[in-house]
Amino acid sequence: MNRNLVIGGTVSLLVLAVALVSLVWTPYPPTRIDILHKLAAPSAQHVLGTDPFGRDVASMIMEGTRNTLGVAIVAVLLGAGLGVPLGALAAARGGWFDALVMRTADLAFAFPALLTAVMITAIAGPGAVNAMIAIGIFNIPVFARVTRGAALSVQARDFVTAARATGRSEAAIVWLHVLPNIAPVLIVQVTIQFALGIIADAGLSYVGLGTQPPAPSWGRMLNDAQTFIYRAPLLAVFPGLAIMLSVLGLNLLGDGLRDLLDPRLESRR
Amino acid sequence: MNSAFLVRRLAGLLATLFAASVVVFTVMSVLPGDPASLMLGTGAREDTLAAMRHQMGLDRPAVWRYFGWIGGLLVGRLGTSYTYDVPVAELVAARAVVSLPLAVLAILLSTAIALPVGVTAARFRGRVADTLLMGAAQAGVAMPNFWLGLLLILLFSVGLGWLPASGFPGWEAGVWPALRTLILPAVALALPQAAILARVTRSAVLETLGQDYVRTARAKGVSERVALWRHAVRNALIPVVTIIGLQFSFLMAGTVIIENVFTLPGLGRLMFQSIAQRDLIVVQDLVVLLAGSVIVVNFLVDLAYMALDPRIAAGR
Amino acid sequence: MAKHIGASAFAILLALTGPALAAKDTLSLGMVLEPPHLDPTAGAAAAIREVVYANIFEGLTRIDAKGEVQPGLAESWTVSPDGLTYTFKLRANAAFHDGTKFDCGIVKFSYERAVAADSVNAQKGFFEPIVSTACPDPATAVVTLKRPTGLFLFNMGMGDAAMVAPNTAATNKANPVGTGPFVFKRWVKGDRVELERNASYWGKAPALRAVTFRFIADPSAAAAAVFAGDIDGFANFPAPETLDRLRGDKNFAVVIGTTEGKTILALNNTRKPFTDIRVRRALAHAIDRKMLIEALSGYGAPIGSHFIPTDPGAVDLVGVYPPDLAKAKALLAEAGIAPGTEITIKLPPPGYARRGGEVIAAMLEQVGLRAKLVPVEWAQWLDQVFKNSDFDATIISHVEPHDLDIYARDKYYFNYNSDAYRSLYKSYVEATDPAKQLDLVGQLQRKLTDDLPNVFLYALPKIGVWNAKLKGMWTNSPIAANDVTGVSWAE
Repeated sequence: MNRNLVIGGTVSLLVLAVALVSLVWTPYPPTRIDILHKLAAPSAQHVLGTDPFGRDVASMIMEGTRNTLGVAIVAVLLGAGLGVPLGALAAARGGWFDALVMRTADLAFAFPALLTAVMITAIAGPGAVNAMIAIGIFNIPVFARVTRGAALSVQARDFVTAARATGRSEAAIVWLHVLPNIAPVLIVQVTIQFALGIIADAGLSYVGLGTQPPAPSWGRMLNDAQTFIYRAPLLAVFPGLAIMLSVLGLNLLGDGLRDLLDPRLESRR
Repeated sequence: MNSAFLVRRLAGLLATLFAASVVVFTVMSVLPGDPASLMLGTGAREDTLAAMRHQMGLDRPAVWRYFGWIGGLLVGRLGTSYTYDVPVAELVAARAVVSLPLAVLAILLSTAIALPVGVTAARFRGRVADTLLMGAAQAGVAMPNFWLGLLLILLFSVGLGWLPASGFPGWEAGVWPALRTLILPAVALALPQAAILARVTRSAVLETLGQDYVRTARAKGVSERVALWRHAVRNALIPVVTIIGLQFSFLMAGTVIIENVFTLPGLGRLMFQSIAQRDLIVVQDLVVLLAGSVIVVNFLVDLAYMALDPRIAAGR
Repeated sequence: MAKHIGASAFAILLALTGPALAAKDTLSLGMVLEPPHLDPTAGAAAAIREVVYANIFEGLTRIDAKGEVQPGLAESWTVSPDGLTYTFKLRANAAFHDGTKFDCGIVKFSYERAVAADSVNAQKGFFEPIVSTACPDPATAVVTLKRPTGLFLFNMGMGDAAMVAPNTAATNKANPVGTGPFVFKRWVKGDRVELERNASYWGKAPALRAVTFRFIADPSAAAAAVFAGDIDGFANFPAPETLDRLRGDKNFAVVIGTTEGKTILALNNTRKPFTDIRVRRALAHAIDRKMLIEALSGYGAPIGSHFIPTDPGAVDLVGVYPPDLAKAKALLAEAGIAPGTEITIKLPPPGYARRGGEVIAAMLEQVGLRAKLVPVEWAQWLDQVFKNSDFDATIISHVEPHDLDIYARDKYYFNYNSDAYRSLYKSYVEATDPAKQLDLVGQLQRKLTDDLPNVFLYALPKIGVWNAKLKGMWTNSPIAANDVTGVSWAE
């Protein structure tokens, strides 16, 4: 067992656990406003203090975990769900289909991601669902490219050529031989995109385009905190730590998985 | 170099740019909200709104407007902003003098940090220095730049009072007063980028260190230091430069959140604001300009790859 | 803070070593929003007026700090007994910044331009009653109206009725040329507009030599700029949460004034469940206005009707629907509204709406209503809510002065259709006796409170923060303006 995998796995499980616990329990209802106790410092009642509306920061961060993970998970599912088949098909078919998929991927990469997300939310209105779509759209070409690249190298190998000789359909070959062999690469990519999704969601929420109130989100908590940075500086610290911890956990997990699943890369480390 | 491939690639990029312009124009056209009523407010009468729409050219059919716009772009005319009523080129130029220096500063800073860190980590691979530096890099990658910006404000503006928390006085206020306001945002942008770059540098150097010519050089009695710097690092530079190029295009477009954190009048904020004010022309121009710059950088990256490894061209 | 100490030490040093410094004669004022352009006759944005009103552009009349009509480019006027003919005597020596002479021809041009078919004047309605503008001699303008219009002199003092010259009217957006005491110098987009004293102004020269309007949208940046002394103040300070710190500092004056902003939870009166008055009243009982104000800034007065409490004729109706959760729940139950019913509140960008929405959602939750908050940009708000009445509820501040008429209109976005109110409003407009007018203003307010088409929340405060040595800043905000013509520095 490598160290990255253990630390990353533990932290990620912890984050997941917090998200799950928030489904059934938070210290206070995270939307409960208590104006008379606004901007309280951390104490026994409120372990991380209260925000400008007197809401419990710890509860908000807990529920924020759930909201952020939700956005990032759906964005990854969207990206992998569409990107992997597209990339695998592009590699298998080649020709105009390959060219089309790759040029479309170029087009997507050419757009400044965040600004496109801004435009998407300007049309559809801001909100968690649209944040999922805006982030997920940019995951599609990533997965398509990675899948295509990995699939191309696998396809050249003997066992695929052999399978092709038996007259198996292209789809069956992709499903039975190519995908299982590129799974390690994809799993690692999932953790990377997951982590990037968390940062992107926080960024969108920071500029007011992600998860909408009253549902709490880390990014918006940071934005609120900036207004009160002279009076309650700690408010700007906790949500950021939550982001950093989640992303760090996922990145370590990804590194650990890469070492575990793809020994050839081990030599580089 | 394979010129047929180059031409094909260039044609593809131009097609991409064209597609980008169609996409952004369509998106802006279906965007709900009337720029004229935004300008004239709730007291405006219908005939006044119609007059304003005519003045803005919004009463012409969409296809007409598209070709009017794209035709202007081809001859270098960006058009006139609906809201400010000044040439878009002027607006973009005024914002670029903030965004561009910020991006350059961030790139310089990130490179200056990342190269020594990456090389040092590679040299002391597996030892304490490596573990510490790469641990820090892991943390840096995980930090959203806008949060880092907030922490920097907390420390250097709120706490120590050394640097301004926000705003930009303009270059005419003097180089130092202007530069001063760009320091914190540049650091906030640079550190996470440096963390990524340091990791890339480390693995690139490790890879070249394992290659034959470095081994040969070592065998010939070249000192470890020379082997590292002259042979390994130099050859590792190409992937590193590639990443720097990509980071630059990311920084040109990706500074919008940092510009919000530090309230800098840069390109990202202009874009943000133009979308809110339905200044359609400005949004379209900016998207095409930014997409164009990303595409150009991608093309240069392709060229670098080809120079590095001609097989790539054949493989595509 | 170190900076302050340094600065004052420096000042002491100068005082000891040399003659006293000349009094400061420049002003740098913060504004939250940047104007889209600088032509008040071609746009509704308040930010345009906050830069140019009275400073660059002038009208025949002008509105003073109390909201009263004063002479502007017309030094005096007479009104015919039937209220249809206004004869203005114009300033003889007024001229535009480019040297163009101001005379009756300019008045005629400006008013006719505002009603022309291709006019883009945001308040074209102001000029609609005008039949003709005649020039018996260059220094006299005779304006004839279709019908008596009580607010005509007030309206002609608004920025929309500013005097513009034929040769510069088309370029005023980027390069405004007016008759005012300040000349436009330059505009650094995204950052600031600079004005300079007009050396050949027709009237009393202003005390300030140069004025800069800095645009700082972010509240924390605004607070930082004031603390650091980067700017001399904000007429409308966007960071009320930092006021505690400013109040304790002798260097700053914190001046709380009033605006004409009636902040309301506007309801779509033709959409269920708001068709039912019990539901609307339940909302009023559920929302604790004092707490809402406390959560937003701590400043501003609760309102019980669509009227500013300090305006003449105001009736105190705040207590009609006191905070009462039990009553709110009972009313909802009576109306057959099941707990957990969802209502959508569309929120435009200002903080009173976005942050206020969060507070109101939490308050409504306590009576079993689930509020879905939908933030919208201004473009969407104007399109969806204002133009197409496509909304359940929205939070908005109506900043226009004297706007009880919006409830009498045939089609207005919240769809209050009351013939009783309309006839009451008609008798108010036709009333000539001031006492009767005041009585009718009271009746109108009561009628609104009773029918409760919208939930009336609070009067938007004007929170001014500026250097304590600054004199002559407006306390209240009767119209959107930063009239700095009377501003000076104490010695």
